[in-house]
Amino acid sequence: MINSDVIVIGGGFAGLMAAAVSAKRGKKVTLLTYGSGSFPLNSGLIDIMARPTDDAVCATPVEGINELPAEHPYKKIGTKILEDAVSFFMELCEEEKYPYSGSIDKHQWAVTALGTMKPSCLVPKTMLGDLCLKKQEIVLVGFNGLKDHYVNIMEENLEHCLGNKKNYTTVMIDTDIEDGRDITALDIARWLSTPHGYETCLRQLRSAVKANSVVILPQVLGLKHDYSIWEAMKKDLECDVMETTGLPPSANGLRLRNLLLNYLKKHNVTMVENAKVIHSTVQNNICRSITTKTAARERTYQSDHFILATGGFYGGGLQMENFPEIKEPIFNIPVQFEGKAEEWANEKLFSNQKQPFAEVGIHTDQQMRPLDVEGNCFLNNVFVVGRNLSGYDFCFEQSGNGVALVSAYQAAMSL
Amino acid sequence: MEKATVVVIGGGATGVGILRDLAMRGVDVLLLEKLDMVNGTSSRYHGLLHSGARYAVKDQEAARECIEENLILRKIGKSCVEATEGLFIRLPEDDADFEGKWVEGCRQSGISAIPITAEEAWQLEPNLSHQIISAYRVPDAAIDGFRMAWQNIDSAARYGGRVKTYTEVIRIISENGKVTGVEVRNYFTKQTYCIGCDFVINAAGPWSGQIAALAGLDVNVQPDKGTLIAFNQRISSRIVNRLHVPSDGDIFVPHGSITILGTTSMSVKDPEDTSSSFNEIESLLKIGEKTFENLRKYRVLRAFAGSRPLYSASGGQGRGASRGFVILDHAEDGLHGFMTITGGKFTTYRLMAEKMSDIVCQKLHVTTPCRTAEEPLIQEVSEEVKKKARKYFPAYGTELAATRLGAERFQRIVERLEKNPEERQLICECENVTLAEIETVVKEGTSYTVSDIRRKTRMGMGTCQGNFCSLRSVGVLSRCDVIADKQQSLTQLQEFLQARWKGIRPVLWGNALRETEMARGIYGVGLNVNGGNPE
Repeated sequence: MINSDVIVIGGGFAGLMAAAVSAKRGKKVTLLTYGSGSFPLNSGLIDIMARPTDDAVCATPVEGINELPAEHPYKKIGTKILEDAVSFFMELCEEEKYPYSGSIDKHQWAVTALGTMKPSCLVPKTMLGDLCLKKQEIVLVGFNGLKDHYVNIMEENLEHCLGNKKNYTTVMIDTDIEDGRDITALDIARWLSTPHGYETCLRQLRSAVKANSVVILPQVLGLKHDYSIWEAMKKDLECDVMETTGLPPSANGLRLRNLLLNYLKKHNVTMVENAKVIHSTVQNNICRSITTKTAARERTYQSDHFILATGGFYGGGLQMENFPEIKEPIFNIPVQFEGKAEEWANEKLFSNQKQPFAEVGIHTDQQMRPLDVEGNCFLNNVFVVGRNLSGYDFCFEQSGNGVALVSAYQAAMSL
Repeated sequence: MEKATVVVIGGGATGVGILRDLAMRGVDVLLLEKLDMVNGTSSRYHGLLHSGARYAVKDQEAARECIEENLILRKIGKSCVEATEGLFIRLPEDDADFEGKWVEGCRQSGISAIPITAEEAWQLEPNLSHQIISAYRVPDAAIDGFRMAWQNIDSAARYGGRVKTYTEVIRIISENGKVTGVEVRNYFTKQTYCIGCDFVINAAGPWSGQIAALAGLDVNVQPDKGTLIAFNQRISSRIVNRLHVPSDGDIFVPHGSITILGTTSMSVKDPEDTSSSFNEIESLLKIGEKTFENLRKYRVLRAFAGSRPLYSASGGQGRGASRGFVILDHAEDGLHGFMTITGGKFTTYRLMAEKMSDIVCQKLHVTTPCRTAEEPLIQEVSEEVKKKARKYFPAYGTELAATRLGAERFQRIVERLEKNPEERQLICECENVTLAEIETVVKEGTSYTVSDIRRKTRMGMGTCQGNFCSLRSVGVLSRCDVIADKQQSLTQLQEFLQARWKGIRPVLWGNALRETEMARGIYGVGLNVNGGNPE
């Protein structure tokens, strides 16, 4: 039997942040992970709020938050704590030598692999898309053999976004990666991390770069959470260099993950990988222990507090085998969809409305403790964070990692 | 002015069948389709090559036509047909008297129906319900509607048969009671122009009433919507039918690695209505789980719907209307050179085309006989080319690609794969579609949208429903300059994702829900497919 002050269940951004905040507060933390959440999907951008109510982008993230309905996790938690959570994250990144940029007073626009611009909030320095507005020469870089990045689409859509007064150039780089399989952005990131790969790429880029250029690449500037390749390339090319978001697996998502894991290690968090939690033991509204199952055996963990960061439907923290029965598999926390079948999802995948199914999740009190159907707290030492919360649509709002960060911070501070 | 002797309207099975038949007889024929080929009824059905047993009680003629055509299509379209055979099973709630009539009907129609015991049925299909009372083996088969159509078009092209997609007929032009041409409109450019012809054949399926109306004629075709469910697994090796009066949700057809369950039957005003609701899906599942008790454990991939063209001179509806086909020569209505062929079903498309072509040929004094029942649709792919291909395709992918591409195109693609290692990239991992194939198909110049590429290659039809390959396909399509009238890449992508969503929305639970959250994560959050501008 292993004892801790806090057990965090879930290896996504919310889980890692909850563990980080708890550890920073001096708690003895055990982190149980089963997968890596949406890190490989979301480019490691911390979106906070871009579209609170309709398809218009709000003036600033913080103004958007003010427009939200009361059921939204941000509203429950409050702007003061949200600001503290943002500061905590920014300081953590600073400490790990991979500082992010941004604040809740301004959108940070990132360039996507489609050539659209995406409003985010806290972003790595390699993805500050506003630079495109200032530069005259836009150099779009693709890699031969990389099937997930198309400079032709980027050019078409960026021109639409930024206007046709700028000069757009596309460059295709030949890599000499011989792998016998299709290559991804991660392979190129590895290749660029070698002196040979870096020099080979640089040689081909040089001729395309003029004064006042910004060179836009897929996420290939290394897998480590440092800016060394980015800084070297800026210096060697004497121009600005930027990365786009892209199809998974995303290098920056993994950089953020590695950064956080590194921080947790330093703060003596016990980490157990591939630990699927299958059972909880609850007495008198207090969770005493949880049980994990690995290939070899079952194992029981005791703790004073439990933070549930198992994700939503994508992550498996919520499950729906048949409509409309929704299950939270570890604590059996009630989750309900109140509407009719035809109201479960909008006719359009993307529209000016939030998706009803996306807003379904666990209701909590202000401390992030789950509530039963009557609205009463029934698990006094369990806290719910991230995508399994109710009341927000990460995609519509562009708020996914933001809600994860803020709810994780709030839960860890409530212990 | 562009000209053809015969203009065929409608790019479904009947249309391509007529195109091939007439072209093979040396007639100058042009097929016009308002959207992409095979996007209507002919791709929105079970993919069941009927043995005829389903019609054995109610409609002996249809049953006999089915079994004859079934045998012909197996021969000419070998690579489109999966000879699975079929089972008819009777459950306790199914009428016992019907069984006797059905056995007799099969006998009279010449359809082999071999009785087996319930134990034997479970041995053949372990997932089957344990309530079976009786079971029979019949010569049903699975048929790929897309492949069948492409092969007809390719075959027709070898004889000079032409096709124009995204070309909608908006007017039938006539002089002195005789057709002289059609006026058409391009879907993308909206440009209109005329095509001269001596004959117009209206083969627009559930749209044929609308086409007839262009000539001021009344053809009573009732579009009858059927909803179907595609499961991500093969639930059985054989087609499984319920042995009762044909009804909703009583047929399962396995295809490759999936299974299709259908169908419903509902009169609709507009054949464009291919929506399916949660309720329709639920009712299909409720009936379906009588056949396979553990049905709900299987992952649903998507739902889809299409409209049958039910013709009735007197207004019969739904399954009560005839499934036979009719040919209407509108000379009788005072317009020479205009004919409608409607009703019928996929299994008998070739026969329908033959009968229609016979009539046209007689009017044209063409005496060349129909050869569509003898000549295979495509040449067989040689073992030598397949052997080469196996270096680049997984084993399953080789067969799939060989059959969907046909000998000539397949060989070209394998040559590209040999020469250019970069083109071996799998654009669609689920369906094993390489960059070489997508580029080859795009460069043929007949794919205007990503959905068009999908119908020709199967990209985006697999487990991930386009989560990864959508962006890639748009990338490949938009960098190819063969097509002048392409839409903007964002529109392409939005429309493709929305088209996939249409089939996922009514089955949004389980893994379909997980995939949807992933799709929203990738395209909504990561790529901001909806666009947006910094101030």
